[in-house]
Amino acid sequence: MSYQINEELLRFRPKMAQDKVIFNDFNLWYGEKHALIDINIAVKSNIVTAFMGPSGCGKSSLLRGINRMNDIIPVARSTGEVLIDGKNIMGSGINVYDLRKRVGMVFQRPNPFPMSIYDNIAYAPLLHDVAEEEELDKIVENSLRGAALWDEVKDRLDDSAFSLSGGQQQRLCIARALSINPDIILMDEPCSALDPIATIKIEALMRELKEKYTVVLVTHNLQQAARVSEMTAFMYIGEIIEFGATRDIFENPREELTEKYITGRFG
Amino acid sequence: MSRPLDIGIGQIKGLLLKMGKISVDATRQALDGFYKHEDNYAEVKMWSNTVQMLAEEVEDRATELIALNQPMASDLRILKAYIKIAYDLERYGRYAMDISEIRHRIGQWSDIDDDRLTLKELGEAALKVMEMSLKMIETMDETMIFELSKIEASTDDMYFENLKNLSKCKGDPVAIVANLLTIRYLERLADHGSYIAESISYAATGKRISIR
Repeated sequence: MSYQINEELLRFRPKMAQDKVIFNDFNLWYGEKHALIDINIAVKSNIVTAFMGPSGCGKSSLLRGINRMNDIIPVARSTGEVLIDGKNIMGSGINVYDLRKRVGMVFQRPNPFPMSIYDNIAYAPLLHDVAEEEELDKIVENSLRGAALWDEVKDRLDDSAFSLSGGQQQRLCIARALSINPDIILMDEPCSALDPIATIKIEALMRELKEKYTVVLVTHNLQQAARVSEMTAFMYIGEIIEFGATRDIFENPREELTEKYITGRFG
Repeated sequence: MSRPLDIGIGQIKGLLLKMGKISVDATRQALDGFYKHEDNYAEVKMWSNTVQMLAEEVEDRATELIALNQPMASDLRILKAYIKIAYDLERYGRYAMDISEIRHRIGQWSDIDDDRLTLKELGEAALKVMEMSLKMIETMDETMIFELSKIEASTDDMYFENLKNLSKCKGDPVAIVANLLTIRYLERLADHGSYIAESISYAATGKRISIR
């Protein structure tokens, strides 16, 4: 019996994964504030990529660059490209509503709509006109299954979404994001308002979701980034300081600033 | 302001240096007993057991620090290295005990009169490697690995040379067995010194170097 052990087995190196999202010389300003500076990274498909850094470093702004959520901020302006599957989403002729069908988003605090569990999921497919009414039952079930919530709510789909626990509400929001069958799921500190048990469930869900989706995560929690992501970007004052395999970033970062941040010797 | 993690890491480092000092002294004492045909097994065994207890303490404290502080980067590398080093130092103590146990178990022998045998030189070289490995723990100076590896390589050479010469030796069989065992233990002591050097190099730089 012989074993072949190589670098690929010992360390995650997503060389074979395709580039899903590419930032090319991407810059963002909020009024006079230069919030993102010369961002050049490629987010690979079907893995979890984490953006981490201190408050105000631009990680959420970068995340919102992927679904053009920064557009809704009046003073925001940007230059450069953001390519999804090779197509520049910053270009003219891009329909942002179509874009956001492909890029689901989960926020820091669970934000279910004030309606039933069922309607929370059915709302987006109906709004985006991606499903006939008769298909909705299947979409609701699949989305809730995808978010590992089906077994917990299948007998009370007409209950208010607010009757769910915080962790269940967050998984409902993930199910809602899945309901329009996106390619990419953005998660902006999705566990920061959750207890440890709910956090573990969301983290387990992230690992499942990446099989079908490209997951991009913003987190303050270094250990969470280490647990769930394959690639990590460390950001500081609008710049990507280091981007690489998560294990390398957390075990042997190249940049002194990254080392200082993750060992708590910062500031 | 020191982080709690720094304090914990510092305490573990102190324990490792204490283990190392005891182990080197115990090895020197065991060799001295070997050369002088004195049975000091009980005392060396006591020191070896002390080192073993300290190794368990290092393992407990390092595990607790990892669990409570979830260290990253250089902190994590240092703690990983310290856990491995504790084992290597424990082996130092055990080999010292093994050397002293030879005289205790097999009794007296007549020294072999053969100029080709270099057990004392091998003993000094092994002790040098051990002391250098402790210096590396103390200073985290990974550059010492190169000098250490040269001396460690010389212990390998001396071991094989002595092995060959002992196999052709016509002296007291008890002495031959005692010498064979001792050169083997000395060679292993130096090996563990090189493992410690590798661990320090990894902790300091993040790069794994093998000098085996």
